[in-house]
Amino acid sequence: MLSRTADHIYWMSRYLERAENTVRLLEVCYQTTLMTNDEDHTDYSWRSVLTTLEALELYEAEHGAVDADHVIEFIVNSKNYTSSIVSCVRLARENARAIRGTVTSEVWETINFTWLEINRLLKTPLLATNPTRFFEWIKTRSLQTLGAQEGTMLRNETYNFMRLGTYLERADNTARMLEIRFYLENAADDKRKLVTQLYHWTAVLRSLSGLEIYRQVFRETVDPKRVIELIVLHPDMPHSLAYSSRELERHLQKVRNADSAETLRLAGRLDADLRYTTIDEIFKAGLHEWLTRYLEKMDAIGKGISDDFLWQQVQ
Amino acid sequence: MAPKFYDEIWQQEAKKTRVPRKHYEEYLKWLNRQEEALLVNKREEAEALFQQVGITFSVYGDGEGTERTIPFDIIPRVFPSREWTALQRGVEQRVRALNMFLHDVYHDKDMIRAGLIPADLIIDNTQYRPEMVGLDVPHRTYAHIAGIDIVRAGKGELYVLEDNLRVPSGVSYMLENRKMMMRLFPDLFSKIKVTPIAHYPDLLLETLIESAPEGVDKPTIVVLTPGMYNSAYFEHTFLAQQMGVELVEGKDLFVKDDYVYMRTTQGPQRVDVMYRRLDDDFLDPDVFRKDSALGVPGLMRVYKAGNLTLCNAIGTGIADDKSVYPYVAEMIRFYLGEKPLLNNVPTYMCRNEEDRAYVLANLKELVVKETHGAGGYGMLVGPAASKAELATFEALIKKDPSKYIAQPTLALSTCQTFVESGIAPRHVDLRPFVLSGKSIRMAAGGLTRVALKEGSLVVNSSQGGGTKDTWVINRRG
Repeated sequence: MLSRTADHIYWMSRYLERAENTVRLLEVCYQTTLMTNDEDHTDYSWRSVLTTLEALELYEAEHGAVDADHVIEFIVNSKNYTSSIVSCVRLARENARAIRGTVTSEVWETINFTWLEINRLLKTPLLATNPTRFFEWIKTRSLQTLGAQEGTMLRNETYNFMRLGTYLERADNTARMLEIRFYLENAADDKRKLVTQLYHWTAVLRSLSGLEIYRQVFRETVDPKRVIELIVLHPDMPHSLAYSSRELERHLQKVRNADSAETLRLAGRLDADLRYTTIDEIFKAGLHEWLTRYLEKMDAIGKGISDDFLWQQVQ
Repeated sequence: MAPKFYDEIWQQEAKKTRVPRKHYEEYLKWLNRQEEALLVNKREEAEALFQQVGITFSVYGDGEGTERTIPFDIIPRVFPSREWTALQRGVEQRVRALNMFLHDVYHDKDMIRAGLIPADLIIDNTQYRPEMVGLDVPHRTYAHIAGIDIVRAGKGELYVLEDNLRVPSGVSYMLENRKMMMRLFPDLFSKIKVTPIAHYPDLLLETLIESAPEGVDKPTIVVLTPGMYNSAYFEHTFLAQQMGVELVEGKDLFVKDDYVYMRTTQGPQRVDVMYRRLDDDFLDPDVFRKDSALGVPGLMRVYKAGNLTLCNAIGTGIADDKSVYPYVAEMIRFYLGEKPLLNNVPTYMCRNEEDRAYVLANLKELVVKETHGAGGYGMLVGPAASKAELATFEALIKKDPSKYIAQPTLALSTCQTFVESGIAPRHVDLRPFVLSGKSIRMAAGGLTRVALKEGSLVVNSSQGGGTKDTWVINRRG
């Protein structure tokens, strides 16, 4: 396959996945803040979202003060923010258009339809009046695209690069989602803190389509440590870090070439790490520290993929 | 004072009773049963589908990356198979002669030496590529893909308006228009048996395979595109996908030791046949335009070494130049010893004094074209032109006569078309595609273009033209 084609496919998938995960993030924040009328809390939560997305500065330059409506509008619809939902959909579609002959027409048409439709939807008041429905629509479109890929694509290099993009982006976004806190760490009232914490983790679970899985796996009430265990270490949960890392390694194996031994080694070691680490070890190291290292490793693998296979390396 | 044009559907009957031509009877029976509201619906559905499938072209010079669809008309252009067969024989004959002419002008120049075409018209022409002199190409085929523009005029006779031998486009619309018609009106196709055309990409692939450099067994074929902002990008991706070959850009390719390679995820891979949708000028910055970022430095070296087939070959522009067009009939007689089957439009060459005097005296009646022009640009339609436009062209012709030719304004045939105001006649032309490798191949159809503006004779999509599905049918009974 052409390196340039692989590059377009990989980024197409990354942008698609990013749009979905950003919406999941917005959803958690929106849901959690609905449950409180504490303005400090709300403000803090939306700031956290912007920080996680590395968009706080740009937001403040464009809008100034943080408030829910503007943050949602900004993250969904800003033309200047390159990871806004509308930017992600546009870039995914641009990349797909460049290689529309390489993916099946079902995949291309699904992505193209999302693009045409998001432009129509954003001209309606839907986002302002019913953001949840808009979020759900994005998630559904994303699942349809994944479904079109699973259901129609030949399992060849194209498919492998698609999944590399998906899982690298997903691992990154999920790890960042775990970093975010929607409650004030130093809140005076411990009991209140505990309650918001509980809501927070329930919302995180739900946004990763994990609440039902949690109940199935643990058959107990929501406990932060267990939630983290599920999202980080469960080998079979599609949004867990362990699952993403394993898939990354698997697809890298399939496309390996003369230059990719080192990248493959990094991916293999990360996969092994996640298989043989326990949640207690992670907590002992400190979740934040552990996640920071995880993101660094992912970064190195992402750079490796670019250097070994993709277009950037050419000239 | 309705002008009398040959109509593709209705026979020219006096007054009240209109009689359809035989090959349109079945279709009209079907059409008469359709509600107008349904047709409006179908037209909107077609537009939405073209958008969704992304059959669009990028609008040049628009930073927003605007994409448009080419208007599609739901009333087909129909040919009876007998007429089609004659037309097909005619364009095939023409393309055979044009390919022999191309070989000749880059080798022995027999036709020039026989005094049948002026030497300076060829050798001094900017479309003539000295780089091609003495170079042998497989099967002596230069124009692998030719789009021959056909119009019907006068009492219904067919004329060749121009030959397109460089990078003719439009074939994807021929195929997509048929797909669209079958999707919109499936019942129609169960009633009328239309000759299929969907195998065109296979014919193209066969043509490219047999054009491979000698000794290459399983050639690697690619389609070369200028990139996704080119107006024909959809067609490039479409053809590459249909043939199952890579779609490459210049930056995907590099030259090493007289071979051209593409950069792949598994390292370099040699390319043997290139269906290039990029003009000669941009192919190799080492030889042609230095500022071209779209081509591949060193490509000409590979080509000259015989390690790559370019489809079409470099230098085909000399055969479709409008100043060479008047000589095609002579080519057919000279190279094939045959009588030309299709008419040429009478052409006045402004480079000849006598012709020029006639053109300047009759500018208002004539169509003036630039000899190297294409796409409906740089053209004067005398009867529709303003005084100022006429004066501009008069000056242009006087200044540089060899740059212009003139032809009588043809009364192009019309075909019923579903426009905003309802069903009305509009002028049409036809571009069938002729494939040449070792042998000649054609699908039974072409791209019918229609001038959507009332009275307009310009069918180019860049000038407000639309397209129609083109049918070849076997009449029953």
